[in-house]
Amino acid sequence: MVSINSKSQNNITLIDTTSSHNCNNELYIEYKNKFELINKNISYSNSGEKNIIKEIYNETQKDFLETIQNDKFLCDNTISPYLNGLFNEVLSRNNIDSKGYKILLSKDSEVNAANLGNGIVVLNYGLFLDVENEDELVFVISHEIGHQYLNHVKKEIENFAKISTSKEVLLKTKEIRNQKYLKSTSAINLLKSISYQNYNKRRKKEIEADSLGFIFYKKTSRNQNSAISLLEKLNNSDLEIDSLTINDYKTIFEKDNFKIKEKYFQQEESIFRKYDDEKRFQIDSLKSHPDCKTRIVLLKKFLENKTSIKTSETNLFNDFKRNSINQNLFNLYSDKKYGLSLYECLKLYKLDINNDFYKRIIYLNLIKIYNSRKDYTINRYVESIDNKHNTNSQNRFISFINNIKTDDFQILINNFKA
Amino acid sequence: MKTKLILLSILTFISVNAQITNLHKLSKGVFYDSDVIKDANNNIKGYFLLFETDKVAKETVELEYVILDENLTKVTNGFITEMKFESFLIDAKKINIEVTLYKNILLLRLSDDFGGPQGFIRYRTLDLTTNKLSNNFLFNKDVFNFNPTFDRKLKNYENNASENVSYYKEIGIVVNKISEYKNENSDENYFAHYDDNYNLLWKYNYVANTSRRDFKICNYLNSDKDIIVFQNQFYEKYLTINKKSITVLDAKKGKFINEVLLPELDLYSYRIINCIIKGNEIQIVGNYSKKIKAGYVEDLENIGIFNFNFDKTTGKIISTNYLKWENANSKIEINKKGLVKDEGYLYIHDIIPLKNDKLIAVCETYYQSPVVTNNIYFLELSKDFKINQVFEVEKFRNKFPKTNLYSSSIKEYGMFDFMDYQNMGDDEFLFYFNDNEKNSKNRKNSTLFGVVSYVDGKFQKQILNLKTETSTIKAYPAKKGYLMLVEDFDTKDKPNEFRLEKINY
Repeated sequence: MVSINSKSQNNITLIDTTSSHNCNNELYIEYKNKFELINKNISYSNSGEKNIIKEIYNETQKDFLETIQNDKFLCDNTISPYLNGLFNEVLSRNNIDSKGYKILLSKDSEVNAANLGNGIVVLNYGLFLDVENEDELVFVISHEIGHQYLNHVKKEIENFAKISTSKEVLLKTKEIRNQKYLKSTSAINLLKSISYQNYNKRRKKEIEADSLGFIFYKKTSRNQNSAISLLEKLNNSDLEIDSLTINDYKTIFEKDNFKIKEKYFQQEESIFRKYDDEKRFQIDSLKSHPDCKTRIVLLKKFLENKTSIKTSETNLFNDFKRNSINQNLFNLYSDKKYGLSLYECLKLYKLDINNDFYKRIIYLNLIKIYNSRKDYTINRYVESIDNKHNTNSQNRFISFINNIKTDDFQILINNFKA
Repeated sequence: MKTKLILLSILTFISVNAQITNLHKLSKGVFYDSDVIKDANNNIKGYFLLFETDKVAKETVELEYVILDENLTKVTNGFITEMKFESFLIDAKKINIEVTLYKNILLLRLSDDFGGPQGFIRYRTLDLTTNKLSNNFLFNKDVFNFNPTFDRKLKNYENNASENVSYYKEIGIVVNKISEYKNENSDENYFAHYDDNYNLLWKYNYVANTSRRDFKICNYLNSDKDIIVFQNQFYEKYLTINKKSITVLDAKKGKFINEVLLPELDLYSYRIINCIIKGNEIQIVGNYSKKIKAGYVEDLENIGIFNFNFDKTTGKIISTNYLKWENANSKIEINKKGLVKDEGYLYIHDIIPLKNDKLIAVCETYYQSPVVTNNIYFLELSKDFKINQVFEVEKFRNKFPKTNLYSSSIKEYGMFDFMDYQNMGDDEFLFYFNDNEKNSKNRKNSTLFGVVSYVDGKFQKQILNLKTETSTIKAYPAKKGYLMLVEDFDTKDKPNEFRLEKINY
């Protein structure tokens, strides 16, 4: 772990990763015991259903425990009590017993949150980058509590097990097995119909969670418009706002006699002009979330005209919000996403070239990436060029990192050495 | 051929990975065949994969094709129905695919694979601007037959199989019709050039047979917008003889320019390795040996490298050069029969032209019995066909007990360790080779991968040790300047990992 895990400079306070590690250890033991108890008590009359449910539980529990072991959750004595406070506010205002409920903060930079079932709500740190006020954050929490309150995860697993072991499906499976031709096509069609049923239900569940979440949220007496403003932000959260041009690289890296060579940005021209969506399984049909625009329209129906309620302003939230950009850079670094951490940091650094924190993050990431290039493992830490999904700026960055000669790479590192 | 074998093993990994871990990632089908999509400079631009997704009727399968770009991003996929031969005696094992890139079009050659021999050749094209795949087409009975009705009746074989259709560099579609000789009147062999809409532009008829048993086989070597160069191998009583010639055609009108026998056939046998068209000359380079009747280069009487220059306009020989091994022993310890001391005979994988008229010959030493493959040698040849420098690369000595093979078979079966090269532009090259015990299950012996760079006229070798404690990593050439590392983890539930890694040089 690096040494910039507490007070750094310019009043930046990063989450103490040592305490996060200890906290994750405790969390691991807590949930390992809890899962053992849950697994013991699974009882279903139908053994087929029981087996499927057990298998899904085992997989999801294993994933969750692995996530804890990999120190993916953040906690310290400021942010954890703060989030617990917001979480308990929603629960207590709605007379929900907080026993068995838990809120966790993941390092993930994606603007998202999830209910994992078993009372667990996970907020991604990336939310802090996008939410503008505490109310928006509370609406996210309310939405996820809505999922938990309605037992969506548990019901979905049970429903899947039920459909998979239903007489109709078993009969159809037998029929397909006895077919001489078109076995695979028939099996896919069956799977598709089951999947579509499930995904349709999931979409409905999202709307249910929005609507119940909004009821919970209203009880907190916070600004109702924040629910709408949050969904509007989510709608655009995938768009890259800033970019890095070749001139930006020159501004950032050219120092003393070192010159950025344009050939470092050269990409081999692809022969492909068009990238198609997957054929046969239509991804769009399988999206679990209805699009945000639809959700906004539905949610607006529940809005009460209480314009007098102002958005909450708290010092704690403002502190977290102010630190979120730096914390996110550090989270990416500690999560070994060196390429992403460096890329995001360079975009910030070009606007603030005297920022020592950014310099330090750039330096740390450069060292890690340099070593991975020497070991031929760079692709584990830096994304690949992707003409379908990446922006030009992202691909330019990846080309630069891959093409720069190792001698020049060392010069970059030295230039950022404190 | 070797590239194909290598890729097959890579993509078998991919397919296994896809089936076990993520049905939607590549395909839900069973892996069938694949080919790399290369440009004219030997650089990988993408991958074409075929999977069987269903059996829809007797002798009819549904296939899914998947195209990945050079970064392994999925470009497109689609489903096609193809016939595949079945009978009580023999079934086609799978359907093979070979892909050629020409401008914005991929020409796909499909054939039923009978475990070596291929039959029922047919074609499709894929337009890269729209990703649209054409219906099947054949060229038979002197015309293109689009979307034909197929069957797999042997008596109807002729209506189910195409003549050879190719994309020639800088020319476009060319059909090579080879007739089955029955009598003088029935013998029609030709090359026919078609435009992108399959309209005939020209046709060049040639005489291939003097009797049913005596004939020549004409193979494409290279072309530019002006000419097409072919090599002809002659046969007598169905067997090859030591007679080879070069035919030059005018590419715009299909007019015959010249056919010239290779020189000194009474003394030497030749293997043409490369044909370079540059300025107003055609340069044919290769390996030669003491003459043998069958016309192949004699492994144990290997004399050296030849270089013949032809005038592009007349097709006439301008100059001949021979580099004898016996004159090269100041740079390499080699005897006059091509035997490198303690290493074996020299097999030439490739002869690559540089912009400054130098050549690089990539060679690997070997013994025939038992087959042993030894060190790799890079020879830099000057414009006047003398050895400038020799770069020797020490590598693992692979021995195959109880084998006895000619060098051509050692190459064909993928037993050599040289893999491929990448042209980085500006006379910079990267060469790849295995430095491992072949097929070894001992991880320590199967994790070394060699790269030789040629930059500013200097060779440099680096060996990558890909050893890990928890996995086996194999390396393959990928897009320009990159390696594809395939990591196979010991734990069963962890899927194979594919990474493109930039080569440091």
